[in-house]
Amino acid sequence: MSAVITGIGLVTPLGRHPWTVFADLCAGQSGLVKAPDDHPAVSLCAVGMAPPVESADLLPPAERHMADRFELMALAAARDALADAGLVVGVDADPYRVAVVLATGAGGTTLFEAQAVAQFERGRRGVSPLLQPGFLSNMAAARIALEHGIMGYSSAIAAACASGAHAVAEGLRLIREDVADVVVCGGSESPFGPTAVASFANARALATRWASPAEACRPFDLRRNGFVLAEGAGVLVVENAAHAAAREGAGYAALAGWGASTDAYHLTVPRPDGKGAAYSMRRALADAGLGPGDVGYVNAHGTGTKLGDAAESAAINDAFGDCQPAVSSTKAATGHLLGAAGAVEAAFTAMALAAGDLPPTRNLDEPDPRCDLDHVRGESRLSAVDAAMSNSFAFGGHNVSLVFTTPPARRKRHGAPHRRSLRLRKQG
Amino acid sequence: MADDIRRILVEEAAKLRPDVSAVDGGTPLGTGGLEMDSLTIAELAVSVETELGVDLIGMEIDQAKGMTIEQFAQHIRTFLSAGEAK
Repeated sequence: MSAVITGIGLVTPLGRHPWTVFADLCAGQSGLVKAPDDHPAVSLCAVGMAPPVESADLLPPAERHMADRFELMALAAARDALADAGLVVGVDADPYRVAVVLATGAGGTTLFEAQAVAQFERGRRGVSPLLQPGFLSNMAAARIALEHGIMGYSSAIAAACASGAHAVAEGLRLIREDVADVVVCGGSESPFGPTAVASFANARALATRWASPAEACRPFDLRRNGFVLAEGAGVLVVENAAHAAAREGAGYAALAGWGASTDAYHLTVPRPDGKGAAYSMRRALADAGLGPGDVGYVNAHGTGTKLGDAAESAAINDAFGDCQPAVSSTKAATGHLLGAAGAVEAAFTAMALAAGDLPPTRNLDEPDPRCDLDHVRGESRLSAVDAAMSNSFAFGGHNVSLVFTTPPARRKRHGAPHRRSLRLRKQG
Repeated sequence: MADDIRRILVEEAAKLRPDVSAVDGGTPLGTGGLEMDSLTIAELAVSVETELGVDLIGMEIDQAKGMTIEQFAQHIRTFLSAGEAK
């Protein structure tokens, strides 16, 4: 059974409307800013802050004060994704045949931290009885199911910065195994608690000393010095292709394959030769029934760390050999959304296929010789590729690759302009 | 401050690796010495920040695995001097 992406919902530092976000990516815009003075990440030179998501718009009154932002962003993205798919659970799909898989790297640590402070200051009575549903990692999936009446499979996946990609891969598995006709899947992350910010900074993982926030994230560039912490959520509606066709929804792209592997090298340092990541890419290609020469674009994990970008470059060279695809990292514009990144970038990859436009890596002024790839830089590249890959790698050595292809039919694409019309708009 | 940095590094390294005897300025941080990885070395840097009230965010530590404690102390001094020069 094949699967297609029929809906996309985004909450990102570049905004929420998928095609506006994608147009900004292709135009080389940055969503990164200096955090305001009262923000826990004020000491960082750049952050990616997502738009406000109001609990009053998303939750019943009694629950509004005790839900972590990762849950709110996931709810907002899921609502947008289902609307984009034109799908109402219980009307367009059997509630028992709809699943939800919502991943997160850390869950509701920001809310938990605030409650830990309250407990320290006021004792037991300082802690809300609503804290458990407010911070547990599975509660974004649970709240999405509750809001939309989803009664099939549901779960949360934790694999740090590969979490969102794992959730999308799980969506494909559930369709193939005929567990569901529709899977609402993605990732969400809200990392701006004071302790989480301090831990990333103390680990020397973050970009530092850039006067302009928009220049701070520089994947594959010789002057890169770390990643930029960002928040957000991405949700995809992955649908059985026949189910989608029956309601005239061809989708943005087909979700054709996935692969995963583990570095087994170090808890936070990637395997320098990229062998683990290369295996993940090869598995994804084989699962999609494709060869290296079939893939025209790779949306790289590309965080902007010295070791990570070099290892991924080695892995792409290893996996694709003489058939090097165009490569870019959209994290230069969005920052690193951690557990949401894989889902958000899966959406960007599907949209690149649908639009025939490959977004550039911003700030890639001088490519590192150790990152010898066919970089898309400077401006987007109009290229009607038929297959594309999205990579996600993580602390823990988790590697996930997703492969997308152009959809089998183009009768109607909810929310997506026709490839040619977008191209004409750009040329005009 | 120069001697303080080396002293703090030796003391903290001995705490982090109590199984290694006779830690001194000549002890390698990585292979053949304390066998520390980048995160553990970052922890040493945080100890120096805490004790001396300095800020080492932005200091390169990727190459520190190939340094001795004294060389890492000098690396920190150089970073702090560059900051003062600005």
